[in-house]
Amino acid sequence: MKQWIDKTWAKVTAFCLLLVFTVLAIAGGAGITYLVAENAYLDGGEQLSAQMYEGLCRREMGDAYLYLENAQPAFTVPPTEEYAAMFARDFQSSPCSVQVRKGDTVLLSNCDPPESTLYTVFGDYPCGGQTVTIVSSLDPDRAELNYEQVLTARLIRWRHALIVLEVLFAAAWLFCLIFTLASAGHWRGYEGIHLTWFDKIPVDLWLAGFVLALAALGEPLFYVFFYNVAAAAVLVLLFYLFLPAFTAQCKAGTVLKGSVIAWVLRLLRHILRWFGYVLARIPLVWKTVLGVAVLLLFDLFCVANNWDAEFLIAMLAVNLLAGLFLIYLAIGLRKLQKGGQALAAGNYESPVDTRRLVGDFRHHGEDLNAIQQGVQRAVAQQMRSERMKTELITNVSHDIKTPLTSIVNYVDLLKKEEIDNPTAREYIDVLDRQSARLRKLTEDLVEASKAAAGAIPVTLTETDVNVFLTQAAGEYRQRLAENSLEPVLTLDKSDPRIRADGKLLWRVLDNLLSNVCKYAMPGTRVYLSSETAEGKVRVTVKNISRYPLNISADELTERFVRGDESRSTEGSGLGLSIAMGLTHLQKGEFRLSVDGDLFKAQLEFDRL
Amino acid sequence: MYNILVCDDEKDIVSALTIYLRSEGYRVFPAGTGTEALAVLDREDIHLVLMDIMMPGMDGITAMTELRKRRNVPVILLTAKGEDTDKVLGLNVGADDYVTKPFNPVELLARVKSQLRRYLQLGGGAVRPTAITVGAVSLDDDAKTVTVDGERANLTPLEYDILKLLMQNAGKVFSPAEIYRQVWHEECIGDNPVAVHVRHIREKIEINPAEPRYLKVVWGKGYKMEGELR
Repeated sequence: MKQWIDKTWAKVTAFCLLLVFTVLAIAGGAGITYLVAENAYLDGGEQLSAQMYEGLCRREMGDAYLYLENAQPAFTVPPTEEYAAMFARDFQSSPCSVQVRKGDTVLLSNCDPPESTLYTVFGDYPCGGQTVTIVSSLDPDRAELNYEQVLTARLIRWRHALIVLEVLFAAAWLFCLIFTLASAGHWRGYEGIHLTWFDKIPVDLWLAGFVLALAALGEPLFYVFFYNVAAAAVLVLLFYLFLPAFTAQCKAGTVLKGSVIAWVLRLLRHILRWFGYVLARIPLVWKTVLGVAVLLLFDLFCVANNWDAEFLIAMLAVNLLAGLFLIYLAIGLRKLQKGGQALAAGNYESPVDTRRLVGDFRHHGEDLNAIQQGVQRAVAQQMRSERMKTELITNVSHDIKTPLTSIVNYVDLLKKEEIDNPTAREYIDVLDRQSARLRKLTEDLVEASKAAAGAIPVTLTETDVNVFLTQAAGEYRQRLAENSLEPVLTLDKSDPRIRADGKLLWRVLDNLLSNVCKYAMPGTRVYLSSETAEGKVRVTVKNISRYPLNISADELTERFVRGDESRSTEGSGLGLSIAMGLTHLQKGEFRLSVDGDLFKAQLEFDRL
Repeated sequence: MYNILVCDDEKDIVSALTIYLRSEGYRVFPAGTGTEALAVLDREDIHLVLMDIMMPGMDGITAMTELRKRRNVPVILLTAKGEDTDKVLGLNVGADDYVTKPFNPVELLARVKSQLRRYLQLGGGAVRPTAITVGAVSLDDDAKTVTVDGERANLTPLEYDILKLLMQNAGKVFSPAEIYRQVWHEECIGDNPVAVHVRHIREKIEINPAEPRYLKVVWGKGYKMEGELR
């Protein structure tokens, strides 16, 4: 069964069978109802037969009596042979077998007694001074029964089989219905529920269709039987078409969503939203003007329709004045709003013009200006403190550099002295290494603090990213080769250009590549690439780390942070922080990502 | 035997420099302040001055301005300030070169040597007429040789061609692709090797390749030879 659920032929067959069994079950049900109503199951159909045939039999019986009373020559007991032949001839066409008896003796008869009779009546009549019995039996062979009578006769005969059949019909009908409903929405080639155009017909449209059909078909109802049947059949057919569509919609959960009402509601919501959107974008002053205009138009409309004109003209005047005042208020409010927007956008240098504002508006404008000044002061103070910090670091490093020069020089001189003591030579090496590191640290410190504070002059010019990468890779080729690293350059085909400061950009890449030389696993490749996407140009440096990167990408750009393993080697831990600061100075994005041992640095700039 | 005036308020730096310079065979005249330096300059026949900028009393910039009024000797400034603006200021008031502290003794000696050679060349060193000269770099197209401050630099043929192109058009920026086209006489397909060659040339003609005086990198555009074509 399951494998047929998405087969079109199975669906069509089931639907046709459903219609057939519906008709059969209704017919069977009607038959049973009729039989039950006529007590046929209790008296074996006697009452029903009586209803149908008694009249006919009694008519023949009456005819026979009248015949005996009136026919010439008169009837005698026993009758003459001529009389018997006459009687048989005259009752030849009767649908019943008619006998006139005296006791058990058949006096007159129109035919031989039939093998089976449908109904029999008899009565005693005084004829010719004697009492005779007239028996009238309906002979199915002789009688020309109408369609109704034949059907009823058959119904009565098959009344028990009919119950069994009805049960079978009902079961088949139920089965077809269940299959049709179960298969609704399942189609070959579609996962889950698929709605065809027919299934998508909205439920409320169906309901409207039913109501219309009822209204159209309902009026002549109860007048013409066959018209009724046809109308009912159309309704049932409609209902059967509706059922699987509705079931499919239930399964897909689109009963409410797919209805016309929901669609209309959605459309209304869109319209309202659009209206709100437009309204929100009309400037405050114009919104007010619009409102006042609508009000005045309404007033004018009232005046034009002459409703109590004098009063309305006065009201129009008042409304006009009120409207003008409202517009004036809106203009003041708009000024304040602009001031607030400027503050929100971080623009602290355009104060609200309070000259034309009065009263509360003026106070509020002055308050806004006070806030602006306060924030301006705070920002300036912060900038100053940041600059002072940078200056302090710069000055301190300068002061450190002078003694450091002596240390570097004398360590160098010491190295040239011939010292036999190996321990002393080892110590000198340590001094040499550490003074070199101190030197690098002071330089980087100044650079990092300046980059972070933005205290570096930036000249943005058009820069060809591919040329730049070629140059950078060329500068580093030898150093990379010395560390057994192979650079792989992948350049974007479109020769993208960005606005950048070439020198600063080089310092960014210098820091990144110098890190690569220090921390990349020897014998691996280093990927340098440029690519464009959505108006952006990306420069990526990728390498495999020599040490496990047990540190997050965010932490790596913090000042003085290095992977634990690399702490003992050269470097200040400021390289990535400097690179990030310098990239931001050029309005670029700097991103790091760490994926296992894969280290990736990415610069992103707007494409020119 | 050249006479070099070393002027720094840090006695230790002066002594260290004295040791280095003496080992190279120069005569050293130490001075602790700008005034002292000017006095020595008047008294002795000085060929080169090494001068600190930040000194008590008269600072290096003032001292150098004074010095320039009297003599035309090369001056190398020593300073802890590494800003570009400071360098520009120093060079504008008449310094010939600039070394930031903490300096590398080897680099400093190389710069001293270079300045001395130029100073002497200017004073009558023979420059062949066929040679192209930009700053202290001289390219003799007949002999196919390149000299920096009179000292020969060993360039490979390709490096020579690149340098010649840049020197003939001193001041003009060439992109790597353009250089390739003009030197190799074909279009560049794939990795452009020009950048690597330029790096090598810089290592051969510059004292500090990371801060070149002549063959400059214009990042994102190309390379150029800086200086006047003579």
